[in-house]
Amino acid sequence: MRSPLALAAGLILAPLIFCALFGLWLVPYDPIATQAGMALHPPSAAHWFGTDQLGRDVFSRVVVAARLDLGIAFVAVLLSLALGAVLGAAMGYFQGWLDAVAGRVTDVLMAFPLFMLAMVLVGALGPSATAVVCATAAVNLPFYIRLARAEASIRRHLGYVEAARVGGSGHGRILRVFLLPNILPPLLVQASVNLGWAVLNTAGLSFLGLGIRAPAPEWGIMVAEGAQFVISGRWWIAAFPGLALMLAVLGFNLLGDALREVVDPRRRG
Amino acid sequence: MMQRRDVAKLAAWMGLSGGLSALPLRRAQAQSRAESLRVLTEGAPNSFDPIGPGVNRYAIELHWNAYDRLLRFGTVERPDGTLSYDYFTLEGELAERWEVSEGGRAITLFLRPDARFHDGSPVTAEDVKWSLDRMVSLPIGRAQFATGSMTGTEQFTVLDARSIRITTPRPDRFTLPNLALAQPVIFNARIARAHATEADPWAAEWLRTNVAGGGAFRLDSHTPGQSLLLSRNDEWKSGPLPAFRRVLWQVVPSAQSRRISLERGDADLVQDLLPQDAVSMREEGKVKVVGVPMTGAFHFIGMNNALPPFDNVKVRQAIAYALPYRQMFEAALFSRGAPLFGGTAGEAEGTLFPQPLGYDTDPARARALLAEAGLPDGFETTFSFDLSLATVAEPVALLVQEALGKAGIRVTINKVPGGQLGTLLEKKAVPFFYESSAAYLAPADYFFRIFYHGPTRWNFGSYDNAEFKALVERTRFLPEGAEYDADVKRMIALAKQEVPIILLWQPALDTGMQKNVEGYKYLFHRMLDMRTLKRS
Amino acid sequence: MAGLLRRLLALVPVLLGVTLASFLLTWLLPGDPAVFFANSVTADAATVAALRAKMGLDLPLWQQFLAYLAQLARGDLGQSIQTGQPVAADLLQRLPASAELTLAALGAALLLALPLGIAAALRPGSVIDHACRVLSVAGVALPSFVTGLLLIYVFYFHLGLAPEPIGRLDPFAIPPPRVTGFLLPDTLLAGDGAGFLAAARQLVLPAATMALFALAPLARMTRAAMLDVLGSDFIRAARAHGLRRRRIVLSYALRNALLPVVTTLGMVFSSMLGANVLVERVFAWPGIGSYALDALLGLDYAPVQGFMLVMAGLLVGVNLLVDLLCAIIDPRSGLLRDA
Repeated sequence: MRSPLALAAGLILAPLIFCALFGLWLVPYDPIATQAGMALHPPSAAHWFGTDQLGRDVFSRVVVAARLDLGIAFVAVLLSLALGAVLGAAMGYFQGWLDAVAGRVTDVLMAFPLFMLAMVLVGALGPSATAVVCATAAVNLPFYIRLARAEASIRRHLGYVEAARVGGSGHGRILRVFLLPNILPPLLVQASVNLGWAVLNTAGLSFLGLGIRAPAPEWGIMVAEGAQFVISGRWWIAAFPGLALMLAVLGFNLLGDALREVVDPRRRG
Repeated sequence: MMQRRDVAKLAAWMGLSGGLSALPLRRAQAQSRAESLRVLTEGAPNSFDPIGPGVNRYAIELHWNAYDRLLRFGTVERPDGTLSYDYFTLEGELAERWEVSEGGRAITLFLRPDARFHDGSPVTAEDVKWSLDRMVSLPIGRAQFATGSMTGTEQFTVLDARSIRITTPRPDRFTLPNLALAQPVIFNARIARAHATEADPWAAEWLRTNVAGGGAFRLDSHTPGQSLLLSRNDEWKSGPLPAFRRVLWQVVPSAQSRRISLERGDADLVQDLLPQDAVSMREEGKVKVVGVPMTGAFHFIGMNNALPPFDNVKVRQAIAYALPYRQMFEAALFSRGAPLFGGTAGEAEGTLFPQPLGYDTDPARARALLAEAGLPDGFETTFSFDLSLATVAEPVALLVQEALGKAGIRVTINKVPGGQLGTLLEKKAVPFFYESSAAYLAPADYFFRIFYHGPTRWNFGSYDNAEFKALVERTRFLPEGAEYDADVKRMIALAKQEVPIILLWQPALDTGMQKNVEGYKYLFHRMLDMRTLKRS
Repeated sequence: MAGLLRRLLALVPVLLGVTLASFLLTWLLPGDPAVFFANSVTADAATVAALRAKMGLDLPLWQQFLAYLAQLARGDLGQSIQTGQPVAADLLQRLPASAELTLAALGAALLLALPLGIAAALRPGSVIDHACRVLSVAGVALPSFVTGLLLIYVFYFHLGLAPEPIGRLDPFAIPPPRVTGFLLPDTLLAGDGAGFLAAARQLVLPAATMALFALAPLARMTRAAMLDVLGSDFIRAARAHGLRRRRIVLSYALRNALLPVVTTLGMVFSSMLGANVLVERVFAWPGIGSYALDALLGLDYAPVQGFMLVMAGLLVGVNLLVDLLCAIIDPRSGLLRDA
């Protein structure tokens, strides 16, 4: 891939993913261990990003948090992508009652503001990483369903699908072999952009206290907690996780753009 | 909803005259700004009626200043010069004086002859009777008044237009202090009755959104959830006339916004500062920060004494020795408050409670106690706290987790959203948790009766000890004296030895104000008394 | 028009579903409101039981739902315990605040996103294109609560350029008589120029926070749609015919590119209504987002249900409007096909 977009996305995402995979073993301090007497120190040679209210090393926490934040985003998006693609493709292919019922349900889901719906879902499930994953996946599901359904209903009348049907392929095989692989590219573009949104969503939920269980480091909680200290001049507690958050979202958006160019070369202009 | 009528009032309030048709947006005159106070709080009152269901603490701030009560607590000066209420002296508010007779079973209160309601009508014993009757006729009011042996309307008798008698089945130390609490306000019964219906004989519907009283301040306008405008009742006779003619009270949910507004001089007084803000604002010195440890209020770590392993007193003691108190106090409260750790172990130090429980960090002792309890390898448990307490509870939880982990107790932290902890506590389903609560009446036996006794969720440790129970019941009607003191001391000793709950500290109530605002007074309900404030 | 009618009829099951969903969702929330509201330390089990019966929480679920439907049919959204007001009155009073903020932000975002997107599409790979990408991505990359706090810190606390970030009006100012509930038109109607300016100043920071959030998808979609259209046959044909570039871009290409932009607008509006919660919290903006959040955290179910219903109704309305707009921009696209 020679695209500068893909290069930029790679440059940003690679270190983040590296942190997510290996960060736990590379950081200089235990991200959870508190250190009495070291609270609220500004960035220094010993603590690159300073320390927080409990004397924990902000750098170690930012690095380790990548695992949870990226993990939640990936799992949630994969979940809604997989479910949405299958359900949407089936709806578009079979149409009929399945399409009618599932269509109404997605309409109802989409009639709520996304963030509000995620808030209520996490409220009902109780705050935990699983709840955040489920809520994020559920809230995004309708978009994948719609996209997959639209793509599938265009393709169901195309020559190669008709040919397969005449050739005696069953519905399952047609869906699996001919429809799903073909509708996947546009869904993947959506997914890459969605990853950024999922990271933000997790952070927003955490800000309202509806996120991950303490003491696991998570960028959103760190920003939310650090925000209390910004006015009194301790900017580093919120700034560094905020920066990491921003880079992750930026990376995913660039990745989305790069993928879009591959999937839809016409837009390369 | 701000309506045209309110706008006219507001304009009058601002000292603007004439030319209302154009309704210009004009800043208040400098002079009226000097006589007005702008207060910012996190929340807004949800009712003007003190005894409805779910009435929040901001409601207290409104009805405390807009209504009068029969009695009020006296005033003492704290060592740092701040004014505070004094539970042990009572003074008259609407009552000019009172007499206790029949061996303490009858209290006759004599009303001020010149007291008037906001509408100009005199305050009569009939109004007082209606208001006290209302208190014992509504479930939440009755539950409170029952703590002072007042449960039925027949206990309140009008003697004449200016005097009323309260009789109780037996002498009760808590009857008079109950009259000075925030709830038993005196309503203008004529107005309130006019809005009563058959289904709602105590006009709860109407009084929730209307004020019918005679307090030091009138409510001029109210935009629910956003702002309230109060003006001084110039005819107020129940105390010295307040210095501020108007109070603009606004709701600002974000603590950061409230702080900035105060520091830039836009707000005069900001309630409920976060501890770290109180510390750094005090250091910067741009504004005045008054912090008073909340008497009666306490933060604690609860353990369900009915569930293993917390049913074993050695386990509870082990935890009490394992906690990193000083670190928690520093990290969560930035040391703003009065510690309830340390102090004399095992026996009472005076008859006041809460007092320090006598535990301090001692990991070796904690491990030894755990081994004695038959749990040398520790155990697993979940530590819960409510989201609304997160700023303080979160650091506490992390430190608890870490410290107990060293003793082998593996703790999972459970942040419970949205007031759900109350529901779980009611079901007695939480093993180990962080909570806070407060008692309005100061005597130790009252504190123990609520928080160490009985089946309610307020018995946070589900503490059930036969000796303690007998003592709680015996001290209920015991008059002050040597016998009472001995019983209370025994209860305090038990609370220390058996640690049904681990008291941590009494947090400070931090209020920020401009340097020229004076006369701040700390009250048992922890909301603002606007009547004593002035600008120097 | 038959198309429109069909579209309206299709809304009925959606709205019914929304009602059921919002009822069930709040029911799913753990926590017993009766316990929560019996909050005085002297309250015992009897007090809680009395309260539960009074709130109708002791009935079976289906009876509660029927009672809720009957109540809705009377136009009653219930009573909020936290504010002590009827939910409908609360929402009516706060909706204009949220709507004014959202619309102002959306307007600002559009004003910036359209030219930016077009410029980027005209010169893909240029400096402008990259600037567009960086700006739009930076806008979504920071959570809105952080952006908001940052703006307050810089523009109010340090520079003193912005007014105090509390609410919709200077606290010592007199609000205009309520006509629409929107302050900008209301101050103008009252002939109060200074008031208009004051309200506008108050709106700038929160609207900017939200606009940053809306900028990205709009700019991206404009860019993509414009690229799409510019590469299409009819534009090439127009170029071949020697039409002036400005004319091609502004009248032919833009008109055709607007369709996906308008569709995106609907979606952006939806996500902004949700994200309102965070911005309203930071700026003490008296809107419905922060109202619903307080209710959710305070186990006050009637406002949460009312809020979800109103939001859903609003979104359904906006989507209808988007479809209508699309039909006007491109009559082939559907809704008014047989009109």
